[in-house]
Amino acid sequence: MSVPLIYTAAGIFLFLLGTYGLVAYAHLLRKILAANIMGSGVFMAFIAVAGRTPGAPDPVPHAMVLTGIVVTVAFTSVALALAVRIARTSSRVHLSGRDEEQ
Amino acid sequence: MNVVFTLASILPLLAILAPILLIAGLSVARTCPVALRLAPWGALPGLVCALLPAGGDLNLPWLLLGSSLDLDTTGRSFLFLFGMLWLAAGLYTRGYLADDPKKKRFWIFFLLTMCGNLGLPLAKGVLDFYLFFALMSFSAYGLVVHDNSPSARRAGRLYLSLVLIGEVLLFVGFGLAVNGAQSLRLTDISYHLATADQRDLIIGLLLAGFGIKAGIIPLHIWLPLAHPAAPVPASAVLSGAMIKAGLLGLMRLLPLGEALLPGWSQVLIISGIIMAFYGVLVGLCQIQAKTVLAYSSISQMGFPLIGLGLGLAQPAAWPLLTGAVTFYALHHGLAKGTLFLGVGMSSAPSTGSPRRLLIATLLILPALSLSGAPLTSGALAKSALKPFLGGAPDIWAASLPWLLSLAAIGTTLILARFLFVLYAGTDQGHTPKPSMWAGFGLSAGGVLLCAAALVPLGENRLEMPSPGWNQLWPVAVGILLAGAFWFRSRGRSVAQEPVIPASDLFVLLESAGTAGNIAGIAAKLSSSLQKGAAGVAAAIASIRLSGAHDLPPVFELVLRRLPAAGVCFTILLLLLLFL
Amino acid sequence: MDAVLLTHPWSVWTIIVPLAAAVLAFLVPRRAPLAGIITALSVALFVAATAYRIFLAGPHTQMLGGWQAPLGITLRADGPALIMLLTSGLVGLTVSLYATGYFTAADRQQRYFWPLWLLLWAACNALFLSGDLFNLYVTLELVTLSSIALAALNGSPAALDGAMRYLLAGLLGSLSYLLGVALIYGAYGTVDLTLLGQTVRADGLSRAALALMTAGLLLKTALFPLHFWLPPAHASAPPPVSALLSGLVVKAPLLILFRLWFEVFPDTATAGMAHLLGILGCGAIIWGSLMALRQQRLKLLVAYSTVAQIGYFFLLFPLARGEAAATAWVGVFLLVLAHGCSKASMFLVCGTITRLAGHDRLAGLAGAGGTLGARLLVFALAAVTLVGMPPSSGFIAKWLLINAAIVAGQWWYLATIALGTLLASGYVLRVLSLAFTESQSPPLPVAPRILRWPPLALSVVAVLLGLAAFHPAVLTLAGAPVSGIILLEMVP
Repeated sequence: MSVPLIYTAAGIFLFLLGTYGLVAYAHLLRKILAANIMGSGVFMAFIAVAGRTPGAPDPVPHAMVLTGIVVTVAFTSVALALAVRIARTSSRVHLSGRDEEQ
Repeated sequence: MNVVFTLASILPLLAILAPILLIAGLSVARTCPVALRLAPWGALPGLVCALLPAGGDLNLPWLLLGSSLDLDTTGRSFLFLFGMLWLAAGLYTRGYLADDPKKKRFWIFFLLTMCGNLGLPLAKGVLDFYLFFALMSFSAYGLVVHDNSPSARRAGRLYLSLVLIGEVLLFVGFGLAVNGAQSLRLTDISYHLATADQRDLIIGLLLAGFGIKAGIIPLHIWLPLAHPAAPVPASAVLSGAMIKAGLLGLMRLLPLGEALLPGWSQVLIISGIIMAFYGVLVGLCQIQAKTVLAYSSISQMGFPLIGLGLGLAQPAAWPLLTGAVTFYALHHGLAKGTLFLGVGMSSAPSTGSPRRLLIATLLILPALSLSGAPLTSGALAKSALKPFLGGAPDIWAASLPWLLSLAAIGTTLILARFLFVLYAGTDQGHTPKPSMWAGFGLSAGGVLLCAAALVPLGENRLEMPSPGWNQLWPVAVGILLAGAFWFRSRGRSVAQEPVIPASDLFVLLESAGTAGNIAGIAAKLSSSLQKGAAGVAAAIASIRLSGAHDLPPVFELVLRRLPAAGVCFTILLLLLLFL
Repeated sequence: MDAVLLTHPWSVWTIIVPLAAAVLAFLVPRRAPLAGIITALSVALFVAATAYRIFLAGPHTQMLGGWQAPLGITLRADGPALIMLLTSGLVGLTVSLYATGYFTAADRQQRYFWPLWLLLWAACNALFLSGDLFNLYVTLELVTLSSIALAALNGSPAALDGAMRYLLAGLLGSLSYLLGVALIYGAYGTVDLTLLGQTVRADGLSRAALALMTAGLLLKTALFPLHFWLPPAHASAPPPVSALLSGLVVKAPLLILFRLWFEVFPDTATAGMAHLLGILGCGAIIWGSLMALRQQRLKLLVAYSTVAQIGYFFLLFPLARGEAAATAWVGVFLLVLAHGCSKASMFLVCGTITRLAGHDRLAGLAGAGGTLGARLLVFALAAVTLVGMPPSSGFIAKWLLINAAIVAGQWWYLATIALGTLLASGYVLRVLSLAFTESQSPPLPVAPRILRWPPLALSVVAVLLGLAAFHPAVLTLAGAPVSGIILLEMVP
């Protein structure tokens, strides 16, 4: 098994783990953290892709990951701001309906 | 010469644009009074277009998916009919609704409906036809509910539901037909429909879709409610012109003259006969003049349908038969329009007796025409159909002449009933204003023109049959029967008359024996059909899956849970991977 | 003059102008409405110029900064992009006008609305013009981020909750899409749509990438049964925002899906996948309509109607396989345009009604004569297009769709379209019947002119677009990845 493939597989595993966390946990902070884990998984897959060719790594995926990180940071900050606002207005840190597992 | 030619070629467009321009005028405050004054004349360009000999193929490639307007022989005849009726109704409306606070709204719906109706004979492509048909059908809702009484709203709801169902059926039917023909032109479609793969399905869809307009039983249920609910001039165009739109649709799209379809021929002939008799039987039990007329319209529409059935049984004869069917539509449209307009003229107390006499004459004339009395347009129309009766399939060849004579007795009876109801004074008329006279007179003049065969019929020449016993006896029997019923019922005032199903004549029939049961069953069937349809309409208009609360049903709540959404997402992903 | 019109990259300005205006509106909130109106008018002009250029000179591409495809950013203005830009121009102009009247200067929401909306607009236009997978991702994220912020604009608990759901769904969707992009880049070393279209092989990896990207985008488009986030988010946002979300934003992931399926992976996508999407589309039409029928609030009714209408767009996937491709393609793109205009107009009318009556409960609107009744008639006019009654653009679109269904011999789609039309008229009639009842409540004040005219104008445009459908229909096929004959009566 080549090294890039291992990294790709690990990235996909992180992605799936994050997906589970995103939908299964009720606490909004956990959901946001899970989404970040998902993102890390995807970026890991990208980095693995950069190393697939022999010699110097392909710089384009790095640029993409950097952009992706910026996007994820933006998303995380909006999500946190929303979570804080939800906690303030309705004094709970989960979505309405109390339908997710606690 | 050149100018005349140009005018003639844009007249079809003008016929459609005139109502639209008038609506635009009505909706701008500054031009509103002018537009209101001009609105009654909105149908004039259409009528002129039907009468002028020239007129060309007008291509409008930018419109819809490319459309074109043209006027063939059948289209010209129908455009004449529609133009006459809308002009008459327009003039009439001016007087009839002069003091109505909501008259602007009425005019807008009136002109929209008119635009759709006048466009139908001009449409050459199936999309244009559908556009005009839908415009007419939906706008007429505004005419039906104009009075805003509970009964008008009920009629409007039922009407709208059936229009929707009809539009969807036609939409699918047109789609199938267009694909078979690989063309959007009506002529190509009817040509290819004869050999299309889904021929029977398409014909069935078209028959149901147009049948709703034409009042084919049991799709007629909206008609006796909606026609009387509308104001008088709107009833006249609903019953005179719009009902013919369904017929025009069938004539344009059925593979008439292209194929021998004995099965569909029988379907059409049998529905025609059922309509002819059912309309009379139920109509006789009605106590409102306009309802009686609406049932008479159902009954009368049976005859052109029989004509279409004959056409499907003898394709070679269709070129001649088409003239007969068209003429029947013209004759009935104008006569029925006149009778409807007469309802609003009749019982004005202030009118002197000479005027009353004139109105009565102008009412009896179309009534006699419809029953087919000698020397009237009815006699002409029936004699034009007669030569083709022998070509009917099966037993119908032999029995149709007799059935038609029987139906003529029925027509005479129902029109006598109409006149009786009208003069017994259950319907309140207005004091006729000059413009109402103009409309009424124009329409009655149209009936006379029909009798003289002075209407645009292309190459089809009709010969007035010499008056004879054959034409006279059904009318005579009808009048005698009506006289006998009147004699039995005199002394009883109208107010005591029971409502449907047991009307005055119905009581008489009951005492006469078993015939009464048939009429009773017919009336009950009719009212239960109406109730059923109203139920369906109500169900469509307000489907509630469960009680009226804000919470969505359980399934939606489950979907809204994020874990469920995650499961859905995963399943979808797996399906996309492995399907 | 003509040379400038036909060679200048007009479409680029539809991104630059809103972006610059967004910055300006953020820095000088006092002048934000003015900046918004000027932007709206100029974007409309630039879209018109783009349409003119595509009409006369065909589709064209633009390299930003002169950098070539593998490294630089390519913008492509073709038929599909143009229809999206037209939708964006029409909806954006109308909503901008409406918003100047809806948000007052004293309103805290106004300060945030304009920068966010202008950013959203720039992102939408950039997405429509993007020519590579990664740029599509970035613009899609910009669209989603600004939409979420807009959805939470009024700060009510319902709006915050809706925005949070929207955000979580959006995150899941976009990361899934991005993973697909990673797989594609790993295999082919490029993300340019045109290059990929020439090199992609129909193997397992492409299949996995397509599945990941599609699933993510389905979530973002809110296709049934993944529509859970849409009604709460759309119904609790301020009306101009709802109009943008429903009229414009849901179309952004949709265009990416179309580009992926028909330009990049035409051979990878199997009939089974296409029918899966078609069947889900049918499910959306029926379920969304049924839910719309039983809503008690006008805004929720309109939001569920969006869920239903999204279903129609997905009929393209099964219908565009085979000889009906061009017909279905034109039909769906016209429907996108029609739905954008009518839905935006309906939400704006909802806003005016809520402003006048103080609520949007259907039961409370019964007997709404007078000024409310007039608003409901505008609603009905917009619904003419939504239901697909002639001569509206919705009618032409549905006509082409059923033709495609017939040619493809896929009867269940035909039946669903017919049933969907009936159900749609059902929920529209529920609203319309309120307008025909007599007024019982005391007369309400007349709404300001700016809250009355924009929705009316937009719904009139939506209807007239059907009458003049010929040119849009032809334009849709410019540079489209499908070809074939569509049945037009008079081909000039």
